[in-house]
Amino acid sequence: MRALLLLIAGILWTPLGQAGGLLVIASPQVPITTISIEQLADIYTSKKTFWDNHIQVVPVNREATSVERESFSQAVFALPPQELGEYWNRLSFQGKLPPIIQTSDQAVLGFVRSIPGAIGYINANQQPTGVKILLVLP
Amino acid sequence: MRHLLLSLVLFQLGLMFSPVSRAEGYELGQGWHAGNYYLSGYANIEVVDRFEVPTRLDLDDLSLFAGGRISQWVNPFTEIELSKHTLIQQGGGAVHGDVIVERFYNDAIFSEHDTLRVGKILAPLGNWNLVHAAPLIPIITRPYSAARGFGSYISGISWLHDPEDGAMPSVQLYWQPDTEWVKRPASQTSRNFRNVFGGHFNMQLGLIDKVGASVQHGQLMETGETFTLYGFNANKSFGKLRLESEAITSHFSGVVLPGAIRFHDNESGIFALADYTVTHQWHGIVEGEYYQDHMVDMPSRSTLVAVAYKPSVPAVWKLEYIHQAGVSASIAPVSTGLKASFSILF
Repeated sequence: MRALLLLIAGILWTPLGQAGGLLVIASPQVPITTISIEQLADIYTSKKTFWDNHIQVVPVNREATSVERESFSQAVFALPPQELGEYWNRLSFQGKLPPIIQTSDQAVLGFVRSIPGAIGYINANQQPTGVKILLVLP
Repeated sequence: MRHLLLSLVLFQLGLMFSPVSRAEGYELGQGWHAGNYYLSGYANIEVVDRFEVPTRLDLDDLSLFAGGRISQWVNPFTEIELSKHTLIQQGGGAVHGDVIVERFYNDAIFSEHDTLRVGKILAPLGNWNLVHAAPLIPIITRPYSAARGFGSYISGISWLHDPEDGAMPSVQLYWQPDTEWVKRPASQTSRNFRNVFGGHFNMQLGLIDKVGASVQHGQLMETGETFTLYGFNANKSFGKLRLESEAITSHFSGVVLPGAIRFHDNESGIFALADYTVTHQWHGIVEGEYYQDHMVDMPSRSTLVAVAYKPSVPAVWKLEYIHQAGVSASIAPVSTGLKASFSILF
């Protein structure tokens, strides 16, 4: 009985981000329906700054300590968030805007839904509306 | 000058308080964001013990930078800093720092691959000159080779080209038709340049790894000489080991103005640095440099060992010992001694 309770408690306490993967979402104005890992990397390193319909790309990040940011960094760049953080700090010093930070899935979803050209990622256990789902990351 | 500085400060405050449609707030290390505008900066405090001179505590840099991505044609950026302000000095005395306009420019984006930059910029020469903020560089003492022999600030126009094909290098060309705008005071630089043009070619080999080549031509105002410089830079990572190197060689010609001495027609330097990540927070670093200044008889030959502790991404503590085996020019003291610093992006 105790083992069963421990098992249930373990399941309940497992961070959802580690189990559920990520959804890459974008605003409805974004002129694509799918995206590759390479395209995501270009966006999150500020190499791609405009969509093909000339709307500005607005990438959104989770805060540095979040499970979602860790998963995204590993899935797209195969790097820990610290190294990407240093890269974005260098970008910022060179006058480029690093990705905008939002601190919850709901905040990311609200931002992406309302800002034309925005792209972000949320936990795959969410069921977002009003945005495009471009990719599912493991 | 004072009016210009005031207007730049007001411009930064204007950006900060612009009525924008959305505000994302503040994140340590990445500054304060509000829509398409942001305000950020860094601070660096140093203890310098060069053995033969009094020990001092400096506020080496207090820098503020602000930018905006407003439209395709209007993307301003500016950086203003308080530099080299001595807080405490052994035996008394104080050196007041200078307020410097490091950069102010606008980017007009012609396409995703081509940008016209107009204003005062950091010369794209090597890697270190472009990213020299204390929290972002591995050691406290900036190598001669990355600072001394070229115009490090350009006031004029620049064209940046990022090819669509990642197999091709990005290119930045620039031209300064006269002298530096909002000139830095003599206490900050012993060399000033005019009529400078050049280019930088950068091949990105990953997120951090890169290899680059640079060329610059101009006139050194203090001596009247013209110079042509060729440079090379490379960054390469092997797991936890990161290697970095830059080299320059310049040829100086023309008649030297009275009071200046040219010992050599060429000025050359190279440094190599190895940064080993012991843990995410602790780094061990070694560096060596050779530099032959064309106005100094003997070369500088320095070696450096350092440790860096990064409790979080935007903050770093550093401690380093540098040994000078050659002759250090008095103008940029890479002389034997200890340095310690704390720096943070905010």
